[in-house]
Amino acid sequence: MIAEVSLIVAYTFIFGSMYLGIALGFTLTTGVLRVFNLAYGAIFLIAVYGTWMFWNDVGFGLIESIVLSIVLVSVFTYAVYRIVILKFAELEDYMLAALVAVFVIVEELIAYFYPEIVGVYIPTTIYGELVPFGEANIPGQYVVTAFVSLALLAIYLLFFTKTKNGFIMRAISQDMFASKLVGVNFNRTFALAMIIASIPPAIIMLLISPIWALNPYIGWSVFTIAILVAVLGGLGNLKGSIMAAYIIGFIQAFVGFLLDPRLMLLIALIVVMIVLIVRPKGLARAETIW
Amino acid sequence: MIEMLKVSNLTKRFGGIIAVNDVSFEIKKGEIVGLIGPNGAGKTTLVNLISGFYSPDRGKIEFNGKNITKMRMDERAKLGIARTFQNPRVIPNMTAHMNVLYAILGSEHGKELTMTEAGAEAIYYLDLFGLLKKRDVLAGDLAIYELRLLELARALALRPKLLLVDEAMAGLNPAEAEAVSKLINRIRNEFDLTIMWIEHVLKVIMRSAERVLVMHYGRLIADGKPEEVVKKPEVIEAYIGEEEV
Repeated sequence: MIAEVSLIVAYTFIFGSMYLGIALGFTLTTGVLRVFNLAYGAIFLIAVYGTWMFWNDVGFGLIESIVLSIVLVSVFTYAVYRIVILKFAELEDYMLAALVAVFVIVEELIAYFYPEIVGVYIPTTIYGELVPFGEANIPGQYVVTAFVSLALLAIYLLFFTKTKNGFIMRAISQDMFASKLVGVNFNRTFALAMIIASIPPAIIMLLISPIWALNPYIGWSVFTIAILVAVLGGLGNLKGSIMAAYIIGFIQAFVGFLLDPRLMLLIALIVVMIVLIVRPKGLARAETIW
Repeated sequence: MIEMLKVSNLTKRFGGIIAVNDVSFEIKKGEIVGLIGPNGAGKTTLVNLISGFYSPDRGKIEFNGKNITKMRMDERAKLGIARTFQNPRVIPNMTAHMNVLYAILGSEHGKELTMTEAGAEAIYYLDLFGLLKKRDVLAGDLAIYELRLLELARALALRPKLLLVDEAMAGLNPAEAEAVSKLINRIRNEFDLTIMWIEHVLKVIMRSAERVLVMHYGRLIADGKPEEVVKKPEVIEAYIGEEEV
């Protein structure tokens, strides 16, 4: 029983932190820019399959390939902004449909070029040993991913709450017109904020990829986690997202080790639904991200 | 005096209506120019064209010798054109302090400042307009008089060269209108501003402006000293039925 408790405690931290990293960009896009970016799921795919393409197919080194894939993620995000978000700014329902369509197009393209049997594997393991925690042993890469997530959270939080550019990015979504009035280049700032928000999911996905079996449809399950965290957290508030990530992490650790690992996502979804029935606006609905 | 704003043959149509019709005028540096005219004369449209909210169908706008006709609103703000609105356009979900801070950070000189310096500067502007006590109040919770002051504080925080004031008296009681009027005159002197002031109410403009432009049905029908302009038959005709003449 002590072993199970150790596992649950350790994995609540691991999953919680990791989910926070996965959802960070989505929460920021929702909270800072007020856009429910349903194309966010494609970022996970572009990050890993882009790296694979540059590394395995084109022949670049691993580090160069990772950098190039992050550049690719930024270009993709910018294109989503210019082509979809800007175009459908006044038609939110069309925008949501178009964003999902973009995600599915990316997914199907990847599934065409790299079907599951291709066996994509990216050696981004930073620490491959087991880390002892009480009675449990945790794969070192999970621990690395969890701490990188927390570091990204800290960096992004400082950027958005303490810096001039962070303040301007938080302000633009409040009133486009007022922003232009005070001399802010709205389009450039908005696109830049979206690109900044697209970096954490790319990094976290690259770190998780050696542990999770990659397939072209993995974007949906990871994206589901991002949506769950953001919605349960209150859409855009980072304090809420932190609470939500660790609650979902705990549910998944608890279900995974004490009940049945196959029920992890299902039970997390059900619990989130119940919480939302009681608190429809999530744990911490607020106008600010912190 | 050097000419700051030069508007030539400016025309803007909305469907079949010509809101601004072949309007040309100049404003010199340091002038305080009133723009008057009955409702629907095209005053606000003209200000919208100058501030970059609309682009004209025809004509040219020059600011300090630079052609700004095709510039975006944010680019014009950076050059030094600030404005206020008849219905104040502040950000309701942000505090009064943050609204002014945003203007400082967005402006050209804001790039040189740290967040702390910009915050302190925002306090200075709030204090100037007597809004210090309201610094942490959400702009959406402010009264109309306070909103007018906040808009002026925000406009001034951009360190503009030209300030366009659109009906700053609307919705204010006589005492408040008097206070706002005094403030505009005061900041003009202290900050070396050039002001173009739209007002539906003539009394204020007659007292404050050195020159008055009169619009009617989209056209500029008079341009001169206030006391001379109001004697012109076409101006009197335009205002027939209007109580304030």
